[in-house]
Amino acid sequence: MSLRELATASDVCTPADDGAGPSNALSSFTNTLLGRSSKAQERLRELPGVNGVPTPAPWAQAGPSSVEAAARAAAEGELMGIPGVSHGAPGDVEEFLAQSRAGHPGPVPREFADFERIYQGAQPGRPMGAGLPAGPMAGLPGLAPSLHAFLASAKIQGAFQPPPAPPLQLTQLDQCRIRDRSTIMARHLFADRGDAYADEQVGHLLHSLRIDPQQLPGQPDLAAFDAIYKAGALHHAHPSAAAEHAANARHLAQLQGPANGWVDDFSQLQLGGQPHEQWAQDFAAQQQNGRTRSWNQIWDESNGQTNEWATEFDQSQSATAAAQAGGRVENSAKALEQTKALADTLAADKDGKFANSKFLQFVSKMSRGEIILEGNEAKEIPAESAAWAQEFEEAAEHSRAQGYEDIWKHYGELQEDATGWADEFGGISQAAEQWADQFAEQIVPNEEVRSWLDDWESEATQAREAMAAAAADDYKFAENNPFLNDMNSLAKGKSLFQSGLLSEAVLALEAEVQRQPQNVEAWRLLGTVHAENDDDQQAIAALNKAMATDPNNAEVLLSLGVSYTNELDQGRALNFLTAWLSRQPAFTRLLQDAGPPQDSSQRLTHALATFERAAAQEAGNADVQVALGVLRSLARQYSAAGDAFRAALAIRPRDYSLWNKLGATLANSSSSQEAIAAYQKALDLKPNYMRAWTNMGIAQANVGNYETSARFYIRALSMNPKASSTWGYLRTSLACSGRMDLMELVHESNLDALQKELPL
Amino acid sequence: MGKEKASAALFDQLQSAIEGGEGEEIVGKVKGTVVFNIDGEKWTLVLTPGERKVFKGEPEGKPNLTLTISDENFVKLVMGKMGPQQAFLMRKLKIGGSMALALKLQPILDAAAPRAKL
Repeated sequence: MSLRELATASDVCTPADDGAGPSNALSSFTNTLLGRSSKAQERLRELPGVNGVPTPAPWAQAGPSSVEAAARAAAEGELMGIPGVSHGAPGDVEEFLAQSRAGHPGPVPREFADFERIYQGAQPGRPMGAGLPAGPMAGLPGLAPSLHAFLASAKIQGAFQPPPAPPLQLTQLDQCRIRDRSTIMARHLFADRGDAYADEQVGHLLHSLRIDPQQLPGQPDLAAFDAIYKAGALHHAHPSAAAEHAANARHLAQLQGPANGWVDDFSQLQLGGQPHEQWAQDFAAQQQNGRTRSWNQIWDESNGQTNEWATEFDQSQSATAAAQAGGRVENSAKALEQTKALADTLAADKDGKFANSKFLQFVSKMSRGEIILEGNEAKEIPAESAAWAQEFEEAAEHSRAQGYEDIWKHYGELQEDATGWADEFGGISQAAEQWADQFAEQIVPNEEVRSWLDDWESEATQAREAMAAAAADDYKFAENNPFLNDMNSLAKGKSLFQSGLLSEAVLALEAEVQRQPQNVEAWRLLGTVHAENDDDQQAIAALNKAMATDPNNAEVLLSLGVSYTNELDQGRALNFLTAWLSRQPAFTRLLQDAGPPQDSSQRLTHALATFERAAAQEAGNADVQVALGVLRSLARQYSAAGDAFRAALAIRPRDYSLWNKLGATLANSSSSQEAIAAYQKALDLKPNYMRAWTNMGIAQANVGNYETSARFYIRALSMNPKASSTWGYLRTSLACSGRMDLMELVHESNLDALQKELPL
Repeated sequence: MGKEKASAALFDQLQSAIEGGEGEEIVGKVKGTVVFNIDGEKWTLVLTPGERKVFKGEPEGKPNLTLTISDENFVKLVMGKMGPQQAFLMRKLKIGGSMALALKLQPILDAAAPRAKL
């Protein structure tokens, strides 16, 4: 069997129209390795022999129908791309094996029919299957004894003793066919003896049939055979089944591109360092002993095993598409189990050839998990550590036990959820309508502009009201604040902030707002300090306090938009950014033209368009560029966000927070190396910018410098030891850099020791 | 800080992502209940159009997918130091339940990675 067919052929029992693609055991395993992406599936489907329908074997499809055609293709360098290429010379074995699969006699090229009959001990001239046209040699019963004898000589590895053959009226075409087919067959049968020996045996056969090779035209077929073999068996001394495996694997690899390197892995598999010829010998031995039946058995039995499951699948399929999905999954999980079944079947075969074959050893090791694919090679794993395969099977068992009912039930629940959600959504829009009605009552006619501005504000207002309540207790004050009785705490806080002592500035400003809860400026500063200290939650709490007193403070609204963007709270971030825009007198007209979004699902798109117009209108307005950049980050248009921040930096080149924003945008769009440069610029301008130190650590981790990343995290933590997420990131970088030994110091929050271990 | 796991920060990030605006997109790609068993500590991801949440502990019903992996290897998975298929083939990642779901793991891992802040 070619590897391709093993991996792609139908299991002959799955309903063809379920869209599940091939579902045999190896196919499932392949899927597991390849990923079940639709792309991979598409590629698999493009392969010859895979069309989701049980059988039509590869050669039934379009493709070269003769060795000549294959040879021509090979000469033109298209060998690997031809569907059904394997049915050239090396495919004889494969074809008659496939052909003999019970119940699915595919059309067989006529030239092969006689050999196949002989192989199977069929009476010459007996039809192979319904609709099979009689071969050109079918009318020559006298030929059979000679061919039988020829095969018999191969079995006993002895020289060919030609039986007396009656005079046959062979046309030149027939003679050519006999010569070519015999040659090909002989090279299979005597693969271990070399081509010369094979050719000699063919010579005997031809002589006994009174065919004089000298009088026949040239041997294009043989040339083709050699060409195919050379193409397929680059590294193999003898033509062999393994060569074909490799050729097919390369064929697959070509079709599937470099992403699916597994095929290459497979073609490169050198089992236990044994050359592929070993396989070939096993194959030849099996062939000589007429063991083809055992292959039939294997297929029959493995089909039998899956039949039960297929029935189950059929039933469930009629239920729902959801159950189908589950079924496919289950099938996938059965890959190892079926590999094991295959191994068992092979092992149970009474013929010792199989029990000792490398193929069986490989399959059974794979089924026990003793061989795994790692990188470009198959690795053997000691049996005792191979218990995972067992677990895998148990898991599969488990999932089967769950049954389709559960899956169906689960999907039912999902649908219920969806309904509930729809109801909820309806409720929301109702509430919005009511609100709109109320609003309309308050509007003086012809004050459309006013109404629209209020519309923009409304969501921010709603959010503020909802949050003011929540935020009331949200802000967490430090205990034992030494600044509490300092009447000059605001000035000290500002001074500490400017000098970069962020954590001390927090204490001073907290003292200020504890004494003066209405001090918008102190709350806003406090929020800014927390943001620079990489604590968006505290920043949000402080900024909400500021907004509770002064809902129109543009700086506060923009800062809230930034912090909610960082917290991935899209809805609120959008509220505050649009609220910010509505507070800019310069854009009143623009907002009026823009109008409201059509519905809530369009809010982000609508806001993006509006902000872009605003930025175009006021090209020199850095704040608009910043807001646009934040909004684009929110929409995860990182590249465009970077453009906006660059535009803002062109106006305010010494704004360290802008350099950090640019860096963060770059890092989130997989340009961490550029991000590092931007963060460095921010740190040059503000050395104690804790957020930039943390971001630097993230960027270093993104480019794989895990230990360097840990050093940046530690530096950041030395500035704000309360930053729990940075402690968490430090752990991840230590885990990735193999410094698990430092975890204990992290558990102890021992920054001094960590700084000594990993200084910057 | 206690004996917190290295993966904890990543689950915090994952929670913000899934429960926040990005969650919709993730649920568009992966649906079901996924349980991560990290050195015996379980995290549940509920990924349905109606409800998206991440919490420590086991789900109420039966999960569609259970992924068993060590703390260290989970971190390597999220940080991109190790691929999920590699982890599976090297037996560092054990998969229980839906294999199809397991093959759609990447959006979840991406969402769990540390995010630079503006």
